[in-house]
Amino acid sequence: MIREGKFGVQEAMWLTTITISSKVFYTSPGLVVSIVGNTGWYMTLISMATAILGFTFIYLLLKRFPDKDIIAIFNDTMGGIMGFIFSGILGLYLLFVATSTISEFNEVVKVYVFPLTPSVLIIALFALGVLVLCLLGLESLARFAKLSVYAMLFGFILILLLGIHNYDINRLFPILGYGFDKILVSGVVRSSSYGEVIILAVFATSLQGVHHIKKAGYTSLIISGLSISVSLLAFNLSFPYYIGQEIVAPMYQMASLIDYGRFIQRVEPVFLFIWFLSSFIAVTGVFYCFVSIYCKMFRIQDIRPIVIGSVIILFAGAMIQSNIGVTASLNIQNIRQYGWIPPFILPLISLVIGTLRKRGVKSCG
Amino acid sequence: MTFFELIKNLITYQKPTKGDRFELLEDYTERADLVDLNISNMNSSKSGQDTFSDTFSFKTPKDKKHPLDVDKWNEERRQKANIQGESTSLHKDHISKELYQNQQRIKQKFSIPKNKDIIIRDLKIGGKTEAFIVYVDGMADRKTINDYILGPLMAEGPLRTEPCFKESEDHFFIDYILKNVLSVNNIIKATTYDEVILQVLNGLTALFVDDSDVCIIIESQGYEKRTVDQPITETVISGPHEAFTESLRTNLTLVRRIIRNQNLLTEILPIGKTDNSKCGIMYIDGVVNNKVVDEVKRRIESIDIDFIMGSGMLNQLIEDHPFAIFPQILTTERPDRTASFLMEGKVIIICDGTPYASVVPVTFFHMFHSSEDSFMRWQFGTFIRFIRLMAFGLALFLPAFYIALTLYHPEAVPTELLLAIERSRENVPFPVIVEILLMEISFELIREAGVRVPDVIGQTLGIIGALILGQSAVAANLVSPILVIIVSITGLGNFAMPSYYMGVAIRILKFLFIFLAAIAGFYGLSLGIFIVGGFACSMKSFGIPYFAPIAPKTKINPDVIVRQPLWRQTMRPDFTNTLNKRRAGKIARGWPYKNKGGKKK
Amino acid sequence: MGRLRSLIMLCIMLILIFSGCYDIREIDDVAHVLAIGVDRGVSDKWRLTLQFASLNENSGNGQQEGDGSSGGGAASESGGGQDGYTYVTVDAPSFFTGIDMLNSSVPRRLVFTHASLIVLSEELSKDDIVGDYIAPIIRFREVRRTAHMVVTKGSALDYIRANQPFIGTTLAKALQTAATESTNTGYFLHTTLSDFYNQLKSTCGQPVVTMAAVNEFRHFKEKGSKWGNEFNTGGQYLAGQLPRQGQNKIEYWGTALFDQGKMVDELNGQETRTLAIIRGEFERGFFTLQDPKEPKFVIPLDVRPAGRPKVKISFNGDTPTIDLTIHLKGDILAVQSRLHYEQDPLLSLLENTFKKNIKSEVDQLINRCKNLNLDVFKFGDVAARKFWTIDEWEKYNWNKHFKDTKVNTQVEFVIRSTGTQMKSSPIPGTEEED
Repeated sequence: MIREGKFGVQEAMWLTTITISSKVFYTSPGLVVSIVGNTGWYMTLISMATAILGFTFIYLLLKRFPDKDIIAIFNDTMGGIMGFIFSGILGLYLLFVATSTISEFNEVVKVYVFPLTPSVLIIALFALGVLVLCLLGLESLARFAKLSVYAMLFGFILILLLGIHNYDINRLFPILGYGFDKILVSGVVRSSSYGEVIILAVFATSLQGVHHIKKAGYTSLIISGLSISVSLLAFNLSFPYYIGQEIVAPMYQMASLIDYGRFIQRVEPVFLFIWFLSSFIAVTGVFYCFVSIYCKMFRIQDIRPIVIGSVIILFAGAMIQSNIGVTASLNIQNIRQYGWIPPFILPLISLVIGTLRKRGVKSCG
Repeated sequence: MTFFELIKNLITYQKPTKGDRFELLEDYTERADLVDLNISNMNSSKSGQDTFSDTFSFKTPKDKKHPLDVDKWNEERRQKANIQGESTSLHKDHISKELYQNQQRIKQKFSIPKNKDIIIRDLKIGGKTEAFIVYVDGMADRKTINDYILGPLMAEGPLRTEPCFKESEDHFFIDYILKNVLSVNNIIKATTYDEVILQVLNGLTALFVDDSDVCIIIESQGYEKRTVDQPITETVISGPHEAFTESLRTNLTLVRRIIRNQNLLTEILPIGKTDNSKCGIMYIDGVVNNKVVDEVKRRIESIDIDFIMGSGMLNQLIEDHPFAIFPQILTTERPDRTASFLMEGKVIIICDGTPYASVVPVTFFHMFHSSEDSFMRWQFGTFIRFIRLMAFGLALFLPAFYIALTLYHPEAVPTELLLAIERSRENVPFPVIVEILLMEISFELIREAGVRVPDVIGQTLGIIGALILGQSAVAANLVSPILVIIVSITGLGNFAMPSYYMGVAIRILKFLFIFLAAIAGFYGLSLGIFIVGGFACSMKSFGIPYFAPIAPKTKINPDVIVRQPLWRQTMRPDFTNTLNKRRAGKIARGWPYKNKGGKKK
Repeated sequence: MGRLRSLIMLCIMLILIFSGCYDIREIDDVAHVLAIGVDRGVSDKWRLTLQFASLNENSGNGQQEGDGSSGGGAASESGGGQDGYTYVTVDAPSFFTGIDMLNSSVPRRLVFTHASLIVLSEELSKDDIVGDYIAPIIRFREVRRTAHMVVTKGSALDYIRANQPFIGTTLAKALQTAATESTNTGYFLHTTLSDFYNQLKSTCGQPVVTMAAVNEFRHFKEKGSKWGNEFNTGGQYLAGQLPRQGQNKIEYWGTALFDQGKMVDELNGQETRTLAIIRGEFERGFFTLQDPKEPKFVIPLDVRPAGRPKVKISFNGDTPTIDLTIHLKGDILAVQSRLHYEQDPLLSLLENTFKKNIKSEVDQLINRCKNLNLDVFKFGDVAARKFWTIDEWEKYNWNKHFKDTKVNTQVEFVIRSTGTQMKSSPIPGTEEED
């Protein structure tokens, strides 16, 4: 068995929360504004509700098969071949998310912080962090997430509070943005933003019991939903919608607008730490799950040798993207557009088939 | 192994070897084995040969080269151990009844004509029975020997006058002496030479009596030792002012004097193979988790090394992650602090020879606690802990932060300050990184030199050195003044660490972060935090995660960083899995409540 | 484990060896630009003027230099400044080329992260091309959007030449404090690059920018016939026309009104105050009021807002009606006539007079802007509440309809305290003359 260690609800919850909400620091809020205008802050709540529904299926599935992770469940419900394919799709999805996140990170960092540093260095340093933490294992990562979340939350809230002087309530109007139909559709589709919650199912065996997964899953979805919503709200309050969609990294720009004259200004560095650390944690979490799925698919006992190879794939994958336009519009859009299918639909199919074939433990028992 | 093979081994997969923990102490252990063998062989070989010269003669050039393959080495070691086991069982010879033979053996073992420390004194018990005593000069107390051993044995009295025992019943004779003659508190009977020798080396006196194969070992320890003194590194303002000494016995007593409880157990384990040093393990039965005790004992018992000077060396041998930079064992020189750790369910290891107690298992947060915290009112204690946490942050990150800010993110510096820095750096020819390294290294030098120089001028050197050095470095345009501030604050932050070892770890990590900040600014710094934090989170101290009450989250006794009032700290730390979880009643102080507290209604 | 560690170490070493510290900028290898001036160039499209610290501590050699515009092509010229601040100017085809051209003469790399002032010339602003000039600046990652933005009378070059620390030695501090001084007077607004840009792209409002000018002290008449008893509010001047004298030549005064990217009008100090009151940005100011009983005397008031102005908008068909309520409070600072203004009925008379004054000023200003069809009052932001979707809102096009709006103004004003005096008793001698 792969040694993934054991950890508690809190660690799993914060790991998932950070993984989900770190994307708010990239181009996503800008894209949201260009789709639904100034209404992203409640659109994401719709996405969250959808994701909670999706997670319910995951949870039901896991409940039918206690002490098993999603890969074993896929195998169990749909047989070896289909299960293999399903796990493969899930793994590739996670790998794709990880590579896209890194390349997006790279682009944004290059734009705002390190314009001259070559991508290869930024990505290599990133991959180095991912490599080390993957080798140390999920347990360490989860613990680090739990440990750093205090500082990160503090900084995050500080930034939001300091930005208050830029907020203008009138910027939330017209209240329906580009129309309610658009909000609803993209709200449902963008539940993919919360798709990372599937990582809970991947390391399900590390958590003691299904009820812990339930607790961790729902709380992390709600916390990340709220934090994404709050940051989108702050962003919508700070920038009118026609400006918001122009900005590459809205949260960073927002932090840089904090200006209390000679008392406090130029606080983006605080933000940089939150941004970097949460990106590290998010990518490592997702990527570790990919490696874990891979090992489980091929029944490899030791995860360490796979990590090294996979990090090279991750590195190469992140290097492929040619420019920020491609990264932002193509990758991220695609992930957001179709990204809800692997984490939510696959378990649903598995659940339905499992129920039909009467596999697993009766849920009501 | 060629370079190519090395690279190949790096890339190709090899099954993880569940390594022998003492793999890296190869040289030591080998020598320890040899010495052991040698000593036991000495019994049969001729006397008067210097043990150690013999030992080192084993170091032929052939042995020096060719480190063995681990498996092979282990195999060899096992064989050697077997041989040794056999040989020791062979040589574990009993004391003979012939007094003369006994004396010869003792002389041989101690290389008597050469070794001037060992005193053998012949006597006649009651003027009749031949006997002799052996003791180490200086280790044994002369007064005890003269007044309470030699005196009664040779004095006029029933021994001389009354032949009330039969000469054949030697055991009876020995018992008679034990019961009636020797007025010393602690007396053991020994039957083997090894035992006798060990005890004599500890400062006890051995009494051999003619025609008896039992040796009486009489407590007579009386060597020079330091008296209980004030703590040097852990001074506090409020709280007791006594510290451990070098003597194991004294230290154990100091702790026991604080916790007067029959469940406080002390186990003595031998550690050094040649210097016959011991360590004491203390724990409170019923509070401590026995698994931890077993683990501590297992680790200590597995130590196979010739020489352990004290807790510092022992800690290196039993810690979980020898390669990690953070200390995983807490050392304290304060008996009161040791006692409070005992009450938390920790295991204490006290080594003979150093005035420190080692505490296991500990967490990261213990490194920020000082014994003073619990003596102070909770507001003060909490405040001071926050200061320490801030000091930790400053000592670790400030220089790196400065580097990152000035080199990569000048936009975050207030404009006036930036221009001031710019102006002050105007005549400095070096890049910031060189500047800061120069200053940091000189500061480290001052610190190190401050420890070495004699006490009288030490203080002066510390302060004046730093001041003058900083001043003239600025005057000579070597560094900019702001840097002196940065470095001094870093240094101050470091001194505020209650744990010296944590302080050293921070000093080293500081350079790592400086380096990372110079490479990629805040990005490198975050990466460093991520990696170092990850390593720290993966650490365990005797089975307990290093950041225990926070990550992983366990039920906490509110005494991690924020110290809540004492009466709210009702539980022992959950992560140690103590048997007895409560440390106080549900209501620790009854008096504010009308019905629950006061006995009187 | 050891093997693994060595692998990690190998990776780290490789990365570190191949990393070149690309973005490293030694703090003394750069020159931090504090102010950016933009003019229309003569030899090229842009005339870019950059001001930065020269770090000469023993300076003060106010060396005279020729006009920057006389140089041909990319002629850059550095003028000596007082107190260690200097500037360079260049005519260049674009902002970034200009920086590069200047960098060939400035021995340090020019960095804009600390630029806290952006100066546009009035001439440039009136040409409907401000958007073109602002676009590269706003996109440039080094320029912070919190930089103060002003439009200057005359050329930006002249302005920056005159822009020297007046009190103290730090220009950065001077720029910072001068910009926030608006909160104490209301004679100019603190407009940042971000504000300007947001309003420039806005669907519901027009940008305003602080007016600034180099005052050559020509309006200060040292001699002449003395002033009579006529009344003036003190805010009626335009930027650069204040009758003052002293060391500091530059002044922020008034507001430039923009119609999208083109400056169309200029407000004087008093109008700017009114604008600030309507926008809810007014924080404090000393108003001078003509004594309602004794017109030759004045009553200065310390006026502060008593809450944000309330804006209510209703639509009658396509025509919006705006109900504006302004809440102010104030203290009496002096009563020259020594009438008993501290209590009713004179107190309410004073309040009503002030209300009337403010209301007429507000109405005047709103009418003026309506005629220009400029919603600089942020009414549009509120109007957006009445619409459900952005599409409807953009179709309605507020900026087109602003001229049709009907604005009902109401001013609330109370006097809170009478300063340090409860009443002022008459001065015996002078009182008899009346």
